[in-house]
Amino acid sequence: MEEVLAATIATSATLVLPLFMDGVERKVKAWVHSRIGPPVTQTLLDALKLLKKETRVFGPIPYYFYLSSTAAVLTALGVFSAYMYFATLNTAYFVYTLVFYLTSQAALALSYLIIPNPYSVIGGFREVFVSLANEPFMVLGVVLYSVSFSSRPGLWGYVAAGFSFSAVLVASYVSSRRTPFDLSEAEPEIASGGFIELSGKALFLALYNLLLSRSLSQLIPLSLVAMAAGPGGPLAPLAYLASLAGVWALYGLASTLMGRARVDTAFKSLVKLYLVLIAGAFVGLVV
Amino acid sequence: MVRVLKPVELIVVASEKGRVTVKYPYQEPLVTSDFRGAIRIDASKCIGCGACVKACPPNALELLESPDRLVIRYFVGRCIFCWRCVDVCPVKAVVGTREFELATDRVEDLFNYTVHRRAECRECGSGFATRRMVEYVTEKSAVSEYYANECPECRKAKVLKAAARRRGGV
Amino acid sequence: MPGVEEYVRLAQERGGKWVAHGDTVHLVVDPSDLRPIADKIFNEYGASFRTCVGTDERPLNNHFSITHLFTDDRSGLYIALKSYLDPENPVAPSIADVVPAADWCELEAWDMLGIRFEGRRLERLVLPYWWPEGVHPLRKEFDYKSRPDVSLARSERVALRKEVGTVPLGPYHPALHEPEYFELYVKGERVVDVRYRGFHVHRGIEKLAESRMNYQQVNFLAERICGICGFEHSTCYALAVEKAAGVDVPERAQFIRSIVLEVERLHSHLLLLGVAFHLLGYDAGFMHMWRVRERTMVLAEMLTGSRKTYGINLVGGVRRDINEEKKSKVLSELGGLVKDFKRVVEIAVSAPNVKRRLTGTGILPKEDARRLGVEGPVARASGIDKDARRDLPYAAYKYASFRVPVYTEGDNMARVLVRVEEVFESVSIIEQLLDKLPKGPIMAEKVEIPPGRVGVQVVEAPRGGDIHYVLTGDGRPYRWRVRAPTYANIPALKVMLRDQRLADAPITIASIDPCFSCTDRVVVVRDDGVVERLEVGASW
Ligand code: SF4
Ligand code: SF4
Repeated sequence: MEEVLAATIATSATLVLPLFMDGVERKVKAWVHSRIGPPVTQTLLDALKLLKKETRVFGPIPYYFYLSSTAAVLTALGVFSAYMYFATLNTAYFVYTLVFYLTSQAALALSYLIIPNPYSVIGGFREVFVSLANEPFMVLGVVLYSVSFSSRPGLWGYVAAGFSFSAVLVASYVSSRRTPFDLSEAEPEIASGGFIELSGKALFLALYNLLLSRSLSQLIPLSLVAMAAGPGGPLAPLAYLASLAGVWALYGLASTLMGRARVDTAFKSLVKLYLVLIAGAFVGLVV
Repeated sequence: MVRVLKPVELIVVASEKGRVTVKYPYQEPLVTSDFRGAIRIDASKCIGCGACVKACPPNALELLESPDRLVIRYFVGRCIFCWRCVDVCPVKAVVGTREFELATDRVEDLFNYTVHRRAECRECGSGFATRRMVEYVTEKSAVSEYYANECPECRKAKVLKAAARRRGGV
Repeated sequence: MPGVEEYVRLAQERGGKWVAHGDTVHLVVDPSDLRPIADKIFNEYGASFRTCVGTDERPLNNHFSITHLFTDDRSGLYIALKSYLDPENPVAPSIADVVPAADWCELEAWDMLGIRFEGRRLERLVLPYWWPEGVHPLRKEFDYKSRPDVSLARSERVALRKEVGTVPLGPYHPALHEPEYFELYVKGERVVDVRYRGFHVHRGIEKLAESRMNYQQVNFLAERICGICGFEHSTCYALAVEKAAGVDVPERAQFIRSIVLEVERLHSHLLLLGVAFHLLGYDAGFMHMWRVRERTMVLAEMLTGSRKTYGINLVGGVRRDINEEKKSKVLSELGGLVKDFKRVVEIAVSAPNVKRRLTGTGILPKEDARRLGVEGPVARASGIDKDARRDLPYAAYKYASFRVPVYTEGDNMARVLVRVEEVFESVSIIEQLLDKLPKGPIMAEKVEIPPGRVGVQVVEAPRGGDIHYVLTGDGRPYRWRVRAPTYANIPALKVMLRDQRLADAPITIASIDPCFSCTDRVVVVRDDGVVERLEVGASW
């Protein structure tokens, strides 16, 4: 009984946190911009407003698609957070997380491509393009990290872990779709990503989807740290959520300091960066 | 290396400059003392000469005429806050204010009327003439102290000048 | 370097008439001589083509006329090349093949006055496509209040090219959230061609001034041509009228004009830099640029009484003086502002991706720049060294020394850097002029404007040279022609955008700092094509 209650609380916290953290991110941005900025609850209020607005579905936009993809991510996160609190970290856990992570990424990119609007198709292709550079290295990074952690003690193990962790960190930043990698949103005048035809509840779902997947991609490097730290005490779940908030704000801060990339340059520079990091990790593993 | 970190310096700038936005409208608006806002016509001073109407670039001031009335209508919706009317009014009846929060949900609030009764036409052939204007030109009564020291010729000249502004606009 | 004589000889050789008056050479030639003379002035003497003016002079002398306006920036001369045309069937030879920069103004003269140009394709440019044929609004018999019967419910065809993808930018808000429409034809993310469709909001300002305003009121109308560089327009208008009428404007007024013009340039450049950073996704740079800009807005309000549309110009002088207190306030504020600006701009151009995406994108080669007659920072970034403040000095610029930054790269970065450097120059100009501010009145004693005089004036706005042409009339301009710099710069976008990445299109468009007029009538088109006009206050 207690476990069910705790799981419910943990899951709801995981689901609501992104809405607040987005508010915090906006506040952080505002601070860097020397503005007051909206209150921390603004994203939540925006969401409530969108829910009340009329939803216009243009042509064959699969409204249900948003429902189903959000449902997928929701389940993933719910189960995932429950898992976090009550199970220990193991290989199955990582496989599980990565699968859900990749699903949510694909769902977002697909949803852009499915909408029959040139802007969102442009956005969708950009998204796919960046994902092609990003997701394989994310998976590779997680695998290399786990390997180096479990089978390479000593200094070289740390080197390998450090490099592969950096790769995961970069990958999680990229897939959180912040500048310079918010390519599908891109130039406000050309592509507004998949959101351009959406309104009301559909827009809410799409935005919420984005926030949840952002949350998910930020959890991955955190769970790698958690793995290194070993089983935590009774305060571990709390620490976990707190550090998610911290990563969120830090990523938000970092994104204010950069301009937006262009899809061709983003692809090239990402591949270059990953090759260096992965090579470093391999050196650590093999030497 | 330092060059790579240059963008981070923005955080320093931000913390030095603090927040520059304000919680308008909960805070005093930031217009300075030199700001030109809406105008107000002092009906007790206005003589209805129409110089302001002629000078007003966007027709925010209009002259409405009927056989016995002459009305200066100010429509703030068209006003560009240039204060040309303030400059040209011969009796300083127009004052500029710093008001700029003029939105309203009642369209009547955007109008202001200064109503004059017409003079009997014997005094002056112009259709614009109002009683006040005629008084202003010829009468010794109801003349403020400021003008009392001037000869009637000068006063006439002043009004003629105002009327000329109305015609020539320069 | 050709001087007055060379230009006069052009007319003399062909039996034309000429008058040299002040800095302007007026040549009146037969229409058949327009093309060779324009060719010589533009391609041989290297003068800048500014615009052409069609005028309906039938009430005066029973002719139409067309006047091509050039400026010789090296000898500081204005050249007005004029021809009288037939009153019934006004036809002039087109000069657009030898002077490509004249392309648009000829089309405009066709639209507005019905002057037919031979040797070129005539098409609608300025008037909306639904405007009735044969109604030319700038003809004098057209009443400014008349509303021709039109049906707005027709739709216009877009996406004209089928073999490539079309990405529409607009009809509203590509770069500066204003109404214009670019149709980008793309292959993948590469732009292969561009079609521009503008003039959605032609406001008929010239007609309005020629029909119902008086000389002093037009200053305020001119100021509203542009929401960003309005003071340039009102100054340009006032200077043109003063030149035509020979008004003796007090020095102090000219100094104040120059000072306020530079304050306006400051705010305009800061605005554009902010917008550029925003379009590159670097919103922090945008916000801080505008934070600095706000300081210039407060300065403007202190000097003129208004943040924008300052409203202090009149023919003959200015309406607001600068006292000692304001002077010292401005000087102390400018010091801090420059430091602030320098720091922020250095950080911004070092931000990842900002530098990379500005460099090498949107290139405008020098030859194209000259051919198309581009203006201002766009010209200066492509290696064309021209700046009316130095070449055709007006107001009080001859009393200040300043540098004109010129880059040869012609890319977006060059256009940004030209503006960055101009900010520093503007600050220095303001400081110099405040220091030398002469004593005296700020308004001319006597302003008399005889009819039938011509004044041409170029003012270097933040976006390039504005040109105003005034033919004086009775109580108001008989003909007032305005050409804003963006008019000359938009055709160059075709060159800049071609073979670019789609993602760089918005920043490239913004790099000319376009300024499209944005005051519009409100029309509601329902789903079924029914048009409703929102008559704001129909009863008034
Ligand atoms: S301030 Fe200017 S626009 Fe307004 S009423 Fe006076 S003259 Fe007209
Ligand atoms: S100028 Fe002055 S006196 Fe004349 S009508 Fe206007 S407000 Fe009245």
